[in-house]
Amino acid sequence: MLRSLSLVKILRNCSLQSIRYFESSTQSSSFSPESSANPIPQQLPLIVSRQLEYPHTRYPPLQAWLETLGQKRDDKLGIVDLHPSIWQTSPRLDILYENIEWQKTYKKIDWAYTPPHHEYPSMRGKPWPQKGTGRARHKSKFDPQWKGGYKVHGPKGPTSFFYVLPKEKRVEGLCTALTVKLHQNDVHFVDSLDLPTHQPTYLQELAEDRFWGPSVLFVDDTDIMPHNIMFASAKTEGFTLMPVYGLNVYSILKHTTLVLTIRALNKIEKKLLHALHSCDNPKDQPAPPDEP
Amino acid sequence: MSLVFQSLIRRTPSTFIARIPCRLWSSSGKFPSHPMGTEEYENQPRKSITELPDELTERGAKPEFISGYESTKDGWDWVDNVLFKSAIPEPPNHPTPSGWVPPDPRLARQWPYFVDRDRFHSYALYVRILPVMLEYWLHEQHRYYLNIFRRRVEYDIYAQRTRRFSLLELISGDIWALDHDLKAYLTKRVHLTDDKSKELPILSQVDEIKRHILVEGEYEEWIADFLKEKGF
Repeated sequence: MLRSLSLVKILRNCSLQSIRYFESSTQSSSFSPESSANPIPQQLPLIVSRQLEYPHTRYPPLQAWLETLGQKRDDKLGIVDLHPSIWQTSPRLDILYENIEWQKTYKKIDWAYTPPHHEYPSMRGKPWPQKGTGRARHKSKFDPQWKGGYKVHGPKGPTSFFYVLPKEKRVEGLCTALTVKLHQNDVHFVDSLDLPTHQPTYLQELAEDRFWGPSVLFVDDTDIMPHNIMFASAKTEGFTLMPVYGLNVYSILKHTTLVLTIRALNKIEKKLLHALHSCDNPKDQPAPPDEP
Repeated sequence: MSLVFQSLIRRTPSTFIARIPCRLWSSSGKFPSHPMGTEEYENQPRKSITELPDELTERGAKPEFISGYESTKDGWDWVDNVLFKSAIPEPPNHPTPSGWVPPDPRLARQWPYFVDRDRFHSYALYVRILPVMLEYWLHEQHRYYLNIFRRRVEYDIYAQRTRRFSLLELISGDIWALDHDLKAYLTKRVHLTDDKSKELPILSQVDEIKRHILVEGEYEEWIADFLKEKGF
């Protein structure tokens, strides 16, 4: 009984109605992200046909579902095209490792400091005379062999471990991380981060129903987020909001699920493809400025 | 007159000062060979000893030649031609006289592997001179080093040459099938040349994580022909 009901639900949602709508709708409706009044637009399904730059000679564009956060029910709005150079690379695990090590290490400062002998208190005076006492002969109380004495070649001052990984490796690391996430079914594309309520329980139950992991990374193109998602994710442990310029390999791998908006996807693809297909030599020319 | 200039005049011999205007005139006598000899330069106030010209100071502080100038924005195209551009232009769809061949996607699709081009539309084919550990008998485990372009390279004392490799990168798909086909092609090519000095069999190293194939020997041109045949 239950199984048949669920089957009916699936059929109703996916095949019959969607086919009818597809036949009625025009070829490719240009997608408008402003859908605040009605969370689901009338014409379904949408195929967000994006013009991909630098088409790959061998592999056609990948396709993924376009979902929504506006309602709890997991209705798919349409299909999104993805560029194979970013989302279908052979995963370079060694470069992924290097990226993570870089992110951990470049901020590290070792504050260990052992003062050398000239920074110790006065060294004059033998602790006891050379001969007579039965003890070993010493010249000062602060020699290296003493407890509490100076160290000759000890760590000196704050040492920084700062270095910048080459641009090609950072780009390849991002492409690998995105590929790995996509092919493990941990990436979801969303029209926008607009929620109907600010209650954190709404977002938590939504993520539970859709089997999104304990930690979710929401990525939007700007750093000014809608109010509702801001309140909801502030109260929830594991839900992180991030603009595109903050995207990094460590965060992508740390959070179980990655949720991208369409605008964020456009920006990411544009930047990564530009980096993969141009030759920006910083010595000769500075990089172009970032858009806000 | 400033104090500095007075002290300078006192310290330099009189003959040197008298000879300055004569030295700066060119051989033809039409114009001064150095801007220091002109009236407008001479009449300018001297600021400090550090801004005096080379002839009077030991350090090379160059004088500022001040004359009338005009700034225009005509001829920007000539400047733009020389500037470094980050965008890489699209290549033509036909083979060029230099030997460059565009990829053939229709032909490349039939193979289980694919070798991509780099951002400059060329093959990802490189030469490598790598140090390799030579393991011989324990009592003769010497390592002979040669300094080639400031790189310490292992020298094969038995083959009496350096070890060179050809590296093929940007491979996707079934790497082992590509390795098999590549080795078959190279052995066939070596048989055709019928050269006794070429060593057989052709050895290669496949790295599945870095997606590259390292072939021992300098076979770049033959590997390029192989890639052209496959349409990559």
